[in-house]
Amino acid sequence: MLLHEMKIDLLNSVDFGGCSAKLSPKLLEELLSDFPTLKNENLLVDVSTHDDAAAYKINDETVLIFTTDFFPPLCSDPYTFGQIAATNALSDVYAMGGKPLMALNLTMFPTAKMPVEVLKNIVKGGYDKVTEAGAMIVGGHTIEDYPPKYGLAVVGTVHPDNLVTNANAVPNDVLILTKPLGVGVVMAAKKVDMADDKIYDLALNQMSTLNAFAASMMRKYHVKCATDVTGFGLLGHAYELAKASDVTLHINTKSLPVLPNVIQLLESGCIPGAAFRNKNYVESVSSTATFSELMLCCDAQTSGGLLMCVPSEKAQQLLAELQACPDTRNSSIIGKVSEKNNVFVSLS
Amino acid sequence: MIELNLKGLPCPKPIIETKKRLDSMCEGEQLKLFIDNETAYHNVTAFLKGINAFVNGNKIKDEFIIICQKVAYINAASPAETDCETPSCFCAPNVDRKLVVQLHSNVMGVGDDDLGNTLILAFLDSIRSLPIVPGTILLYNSGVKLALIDSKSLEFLKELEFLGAEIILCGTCVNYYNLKEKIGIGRISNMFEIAEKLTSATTIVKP
Repeated sequence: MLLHEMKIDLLNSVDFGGCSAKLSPKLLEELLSDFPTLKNENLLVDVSTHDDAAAYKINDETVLIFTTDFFPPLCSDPYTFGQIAATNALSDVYAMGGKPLMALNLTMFPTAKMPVEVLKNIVKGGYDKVTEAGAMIVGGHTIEDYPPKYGLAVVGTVHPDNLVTNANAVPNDVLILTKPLGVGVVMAAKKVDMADDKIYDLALNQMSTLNAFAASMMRKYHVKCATDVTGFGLLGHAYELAKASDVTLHINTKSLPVLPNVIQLLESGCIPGAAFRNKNYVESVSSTATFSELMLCCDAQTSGGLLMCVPSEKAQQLLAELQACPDTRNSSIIGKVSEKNNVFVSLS
Repeated sequence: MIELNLKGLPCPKPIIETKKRLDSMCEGEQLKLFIDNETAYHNVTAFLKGINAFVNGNKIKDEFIIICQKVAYINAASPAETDCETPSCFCAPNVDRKLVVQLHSNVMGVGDDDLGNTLILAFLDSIRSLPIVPGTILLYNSGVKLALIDSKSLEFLKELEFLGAEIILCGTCVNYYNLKEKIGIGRISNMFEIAEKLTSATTIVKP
């Protein structure tokens, strides 16, 4: 059979794709611990708080947001993979409250093993999402590599007053999560033929949904603290946010938005390896949740929703607006912020 | 004990298969898992601890073995602190440190050697199922052949080691038969230690 006649299933090229391919956060932290932290008065967000992107103040009107993200395939279809990878990379700009401006393609592709049409479809998916976001792909870099990988480097902007970081949570803030959890579980289930097609499509659909509306709501309601929930799972990102803000996050696992059937999958043992890795990363957590709920919180999300810390008086109205928009209709209040106690995250 | 081979399965299949088998078992029944890679071993262990079903786990040569137990509430809440040790009312089989099994030959009894070899295999197969595990198993003279990689007795010895028995081989004997490269289990030692084990034992079993 000729190469271009083969039906390419990208999933056959990877053991774990999407954000679950991330290097262990614990390992990364150890590796980078010796590096000096750069200090510059205009560098408003640096690596020290493990935030979603760097933020650099250009003038009193504009903060530049700078970020990148790429990963190997997490679904079979090239175009969908391109859409999801781009949505995920753009998300970091949204998590800082900004709007994406320009992007560069970061592409690795094995031309000897796959027809180039596959590459074209991956990049097309990315192009369409960046266009939908109102930004431009202005170039990129492509090298030979197997399995394929795709993502973007993105710059975005935000007004200094609207900059959202993960270090601004204050006691009594209400936690809102804008997308259901469980995509890592559904992708793992797909690989072992346990995933319902409808739920798989639901997961793909939400991963290629931009966090643009959620970001616009943060600007409207002057939300100061948020992060996007990706490879380290809700627990991992909540932990980093709590640590950066020096508060404790109390998460009520019973009110988490979750994709259909995911709890049943977890209970039947369909737990991706990345969830265990994330669980080991977060040392400072107390939990009275069931094991399945705990693992749901550890599930690596690709292109997950925003976790916002919202002043309590604004929370209900913001939630109502989020739920009224199709992109963020599953948004839920999932807990609250308190003064720092003996742990950074408390699950109940 | 029910056994389940999880070797070669992609993540998260080992956990799914373990859970499926546990679901079909009776409360209190135990399951022994065989795993061939470290990640799967850690993940299955974490899962079993999470549902309070973990009993014991160990690496023996290139193989990971986990013993777990069907518990009443398989989805019970995880302990308050996620990293705390799972309390378990199960006790591993008792190891009697003063009980020594002496394997001085690769056959049992005197007579036809094929019969003798069958008998010694049956003996090792039987003692691994007894409630008391010998603290030491000494292999000397042609008994060291029972520890060879291709020996049928290897898996029985592996299990006994897993349960807590120390397997000691006579170095002089291993060299005499020129078997050093083919030994699959046990620690090679000398006559001093063998003599010391034998003289300090309260019970010596010599099949």
